[in-house]
This record gives sequence, structure tokens and C-alpha cells, in this order.
Amino acid sequence: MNILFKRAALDGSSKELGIRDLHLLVFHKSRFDKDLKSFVHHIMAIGYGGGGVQEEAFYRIEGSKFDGCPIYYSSVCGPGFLDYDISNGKLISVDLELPADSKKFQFEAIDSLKTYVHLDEYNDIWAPLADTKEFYVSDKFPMHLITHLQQVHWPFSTHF
Amino acid sequence: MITVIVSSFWSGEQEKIAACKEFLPLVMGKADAIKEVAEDPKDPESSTELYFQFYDLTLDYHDAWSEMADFARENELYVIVYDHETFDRKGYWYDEQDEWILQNFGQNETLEKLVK
Repeated sequence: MNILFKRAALDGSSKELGIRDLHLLVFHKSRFDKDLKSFVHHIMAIGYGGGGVQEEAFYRIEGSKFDGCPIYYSSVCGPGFLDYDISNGKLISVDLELPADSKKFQFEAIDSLKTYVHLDEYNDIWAPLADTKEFYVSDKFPMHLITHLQQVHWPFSTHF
Repeated sequence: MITVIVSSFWSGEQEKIAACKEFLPLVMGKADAIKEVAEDPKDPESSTELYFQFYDLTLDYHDAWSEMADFARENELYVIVYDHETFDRKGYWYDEQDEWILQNFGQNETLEKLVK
């Protein structure tokens, strides 16, 4: 699992940040699909979306060449369905049942959440754990994928 | 003609070698020759490089760059594609820049000797 994590500066002021404390947490995993002859990428992300709102996103990208390949998006981390096709930069409703490999990724990513964040039930938000670094990105994290999603549909205020 | 060099497979990584031999033909077509070369032939635990030779392809006559980059990143491998006519090569080093780098260091004698 590839991980990108960014939180507010740990200078003591973050206690007051609340919903703005978690800038972005992204999990990524890919696998080669022999039938597709390309890679299927999965992304799960949680972060600050601006306007006092924390956003979630789940993406399934069917191909290594992002231009022109199907990109599915749901606005929650644990969707039962892929809600939208965003390949053309527009939210086109599709309501496709989550494929088995997407369910597997979803399960693994949700299980990994507890390493970085906890659910603040009072404020109903995901908040960074106290001992997390300000910024962490795993070696194999595909930043070009995030750059592409930012051009297509990216509900978070943190950009790269 | 091009040669695709995939490196390095550490001693004992036979499954990764097999996965690479299965992967590359799926995205680039069947190679005319595949050569498995120990980086240090005198060392029984030497790491290994794979050479896939495509006699009829040129550097940009395929469209597998994105897939090869994904494969390289996922498996922590370096991939270099060398054109035997122009001596151009494109390399993807997963732990450096997330892009293919075009270079030309002239004719590569080692790769030429491996042909046939």
C-alpha cells in the first residue's frame, strides 16, 4: 500500500485547527490486469476540502495511460458502488457495483486508516493521530496519478 | 531493434523474474529473444538483469511506457529501453524521477554483443 499523508504543522497551534488539521491522507495500490493488459489503480483519500468541510474520495482507474482510460469516483471512502465516471472531467452517474478487487483494496485501506487517523466522533471528522509526522510519502507513491486526478476531479484543497 | 533491460533481480527472486517475463510480452508483444544475465557471473548469488530483444521495434514504435513505469515502480526495478539504430535510450528509475528520461551515450557494446 502506497501512502501520502499531510497534516497541519506540529508547532502547537494544530490543537485549534480541528477539521483543518488533516490536510490529506491518500492510500494507493495497483495491480496488473492480464485481460486489460494494463494496471488498475485504486485510490482512497480523506482530507480538507475547504469551506469547513472534510471530504472523502474513492477512485478506480482502469489503465496506466490516464488520458482516455475509465476513471470511476465515489465521494465516500467505503462505497458499495462506483458512483461516477469522471474520465472526461464531468461527473457522469454510473452506479456500478464495486468489483471484487476494489472491495479488497477498500478493506485494506480502511484497515490502514488507524495507523494515521482516528475518528473524532464529537466533531464527526477524521483527525490525525498525535504521533504522526507532518508529511510522509512512501517511496513508490505515484505522484503523477494525483497530478492527473487534480485535473479531472479532486475535492481536496491540498494540491501538488 | 530495441532491447528492454530490466534490473536488478536479487538472488532468489525467481518469482519476480517469472512475473516480468509474463508481463512484458503482454504489453509489448512477444520478444524475439529473452536473456537472463548475472551481473557478476563469478558470484553464485549475483543479482540478475533481464534483456528482452525486439528485432523489429524502434524506441517509439510501442505504447507501453506507462505500463512499464507502473511495473517498474511496483516491483522496484529499473527499466531502460535502448535503440540499436540511434543509440537513444529511455530509462525509468522508480526511485528518482517519476518519468522516462531520454539519453544518448552512443553505441552500447555490451548490448550489441548480446544480439544473437
